[in-house]
Amino acid sequence: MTTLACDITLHRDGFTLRAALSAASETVAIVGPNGAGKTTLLRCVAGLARLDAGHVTLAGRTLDDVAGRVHVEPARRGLGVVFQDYLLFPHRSALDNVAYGLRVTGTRAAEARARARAWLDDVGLADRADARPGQLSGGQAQRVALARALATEPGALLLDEPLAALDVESRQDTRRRLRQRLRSFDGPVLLVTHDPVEAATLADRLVVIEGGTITQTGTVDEITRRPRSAWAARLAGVNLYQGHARDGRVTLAGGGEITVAGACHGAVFVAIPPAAVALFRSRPEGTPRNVWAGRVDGFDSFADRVRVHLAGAPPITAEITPAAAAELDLAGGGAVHAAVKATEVTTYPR
Amino acid sequence: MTGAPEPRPVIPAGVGVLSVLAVLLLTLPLLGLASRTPWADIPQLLRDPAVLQTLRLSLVASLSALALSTVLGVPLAWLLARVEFPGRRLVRALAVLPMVLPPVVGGVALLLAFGRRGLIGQVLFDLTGWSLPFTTAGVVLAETFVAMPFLLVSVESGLRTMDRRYEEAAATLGASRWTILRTVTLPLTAPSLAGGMALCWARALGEFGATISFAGNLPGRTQTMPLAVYLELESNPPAAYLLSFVLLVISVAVLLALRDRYLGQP
Amino acid sequence: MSAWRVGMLVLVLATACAQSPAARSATPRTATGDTAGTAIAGDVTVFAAASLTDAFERIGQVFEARHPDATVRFNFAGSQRLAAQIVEGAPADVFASADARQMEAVEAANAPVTFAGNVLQIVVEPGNPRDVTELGDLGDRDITVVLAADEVPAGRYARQALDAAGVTVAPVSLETDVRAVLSKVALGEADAGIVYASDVAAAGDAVTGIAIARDHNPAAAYPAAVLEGAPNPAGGQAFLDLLTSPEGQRVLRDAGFSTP
Repeated sequence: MTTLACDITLHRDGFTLRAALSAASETVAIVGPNGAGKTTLLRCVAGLARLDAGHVTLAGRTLDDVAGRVHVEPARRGLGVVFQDYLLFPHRSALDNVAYGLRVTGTRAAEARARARAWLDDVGLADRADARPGQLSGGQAQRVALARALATEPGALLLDEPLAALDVESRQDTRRRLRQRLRSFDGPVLLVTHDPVEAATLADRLVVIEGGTITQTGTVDEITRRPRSAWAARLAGVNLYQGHARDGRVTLAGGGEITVAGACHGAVFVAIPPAAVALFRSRPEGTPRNVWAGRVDGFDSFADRVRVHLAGAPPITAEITPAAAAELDLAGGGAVHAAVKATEVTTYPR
Repeated sequence: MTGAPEPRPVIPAGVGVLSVLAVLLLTLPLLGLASRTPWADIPQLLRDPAVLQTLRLSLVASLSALALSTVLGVPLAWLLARVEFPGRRLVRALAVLPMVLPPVVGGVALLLAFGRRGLIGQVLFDLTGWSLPFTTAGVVLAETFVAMPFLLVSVESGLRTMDRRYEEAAATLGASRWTILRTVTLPLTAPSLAGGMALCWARALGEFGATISFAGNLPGRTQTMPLAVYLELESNPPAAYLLSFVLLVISVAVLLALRDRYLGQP
Repeated sequence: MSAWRVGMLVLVLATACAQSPAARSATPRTATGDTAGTAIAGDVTVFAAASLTDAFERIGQVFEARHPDATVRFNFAGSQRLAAQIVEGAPADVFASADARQMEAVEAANAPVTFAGNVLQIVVEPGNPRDVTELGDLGDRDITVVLAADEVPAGRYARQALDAAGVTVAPVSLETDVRAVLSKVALGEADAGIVYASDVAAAGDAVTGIAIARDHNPAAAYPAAVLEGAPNPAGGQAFLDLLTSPEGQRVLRDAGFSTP
């Protein structure tokens, strides 16, 4: 079983990356907002950026060890890398690009080309072997880049935003092919993406990085059920708050109080699905334990629902039907009351 | 991706007039040269052994200067483009200085460094009894001094504007540093290298002020074509026009061979 | 008009406008008369052989002191170069050449007057480290010799001297004017050269001069003339008069020239 393990500390320009993770024969998506350090992490694993502290190992072999002064050059790491923008050599044909890794490590020309041709065939581009990268479409270039990385039979694969450069139409098809390819790859795969859908489709496991640290790891299911970061909450589509729980009430860090069902104590996350939020023009009377006033901050219309953003203590996003939105007269201004049943609120320890 | 052809852009009147003036300024001297050249005498001229000797010397010297400029200039360009070292800006300014220095000043400076009583030249003379002035090697040195900066500037620019991530991609595929240089860096900067070499060679071929002050003037050893033209102008103008025309033809041929790439665009 | 036609038109016009050189008018100019009484003013342009540099600059100062409204502008170069420039149409008032040949090449020269003479000398580094005593020593292959090119008067005179002495020299360079020969020796790049006595005098301590025997030494004669079509003919004539006057002659003698 090939395992890629890393524990990375890196300081640069006032930004610190501090992350530890390991991956076996699985696809791990490194996700998070832009500027969080995802690509930096990948570059460290590839050997393109130097660590300030920590180590990187692959299948027991040390690639980086700052304490032990070990740094294996990128060329010797046995990793396959697919870069954002693919970086196919513009002066070489698709076939020569795929064969490049084999040629520079000593494989004879004829054999390298034969194996490259087989790989191109595998990704469905045998007829484009002689095309220059400039003549390939975005999706085709992506497949050639992948074939090029795989041709050297690497121990692990690193992909940096593999679908970001594609337009919407080719993205779905390419994503599907990529998923098949990654499934059939033996070793660990680290995949960087800012797109939650891409992460959910391609990966077995997610690692969420925000501001240079890992805020949450787990399967897509685990993360969406119990999001622990703003990004994860966006993925899950819930309202997320931090607070302090005591006797069935949680004092929220950003202001406001929520009554919850169930026992919990101490530092907690509070998650409220938008669909559980009801909106009223006047203060309602009834069973919901959580009622507070707010102001409409904006709203998004979709075909069958409207998401309304409320500013208040706390701020919250509610999801209601278009008919209800019309009744509410959202654009009219004035106070709007939000009501949430305590039983709809999920809390879990921080 | 087809559609109706775009309408031709309207040229503003000022731009048009000034452009025509610029073209006239640049081409009229060449037309003047072409008009005064005694065409019928060209075959005879090209058979004159003295002329052939001068031509051969010019070509040998300028190509040697090109070779020397390439061997020395490319590594320096790589260093300036890729490595941050203290004093880098100063080194670059000094390396480019010959481009703005009047050539005669360059010649004087070369004498003070490499002449018989020069900084280095004195040591060389005391040790071996040999000095660079008045030799073909001296011509090559003078031409290299004025022409190398052209190559340097072009190659450095090419290296800077090149996307370095291609080199990273090659590294992750297993290529050694030397292999990356050979298979990725050089091919991607080939246009700027070619453009720089062409400018360098043309400059070396045409150099006059530095060569005459440093290397002197002796047919067969140090009298290059521009020098021959200068002297012939005094005694035999038609011969001077002919030699000038030959130089002009060579220059135009070089430019045509480069087509649009002489500006160093990849 | 298509681009092709425009190009042909320009080419034809350019060729039509090209004139053959030396197409100067041959009509004799009427004498301006005595210059002593008229006020000399404006620029006076003098083209003079390189060997005349120091002497003429001093004479120019005398001229400007005498004619406060006038300014003398010099162009010093090899006589062959100056002749070529004048033939191509350079505007000059006076041409002073180092030999008659270059003066004859300029058809526009009016009645040249020989105003000075010069003899050749061997010039070596100060103190004569290579022990050069006569022309014959220049044939020694260990000595680095620089001469002026054959088109330069000084170069022709030097060749005459060497031929007369029966010496074969292999110079390392043929300079475009005599001052360049001087500077190569003064800089230490060459062991010896052949220049005028006046050049050695002008260089002072920077060089040492070795006399050349009279029977091998061609007498150089310097003619000067006002040019046909000169912009300032009165000023040019005044300069010429100063050259031949006792004061001018004294300056020339002090500079190492001999009487014509």
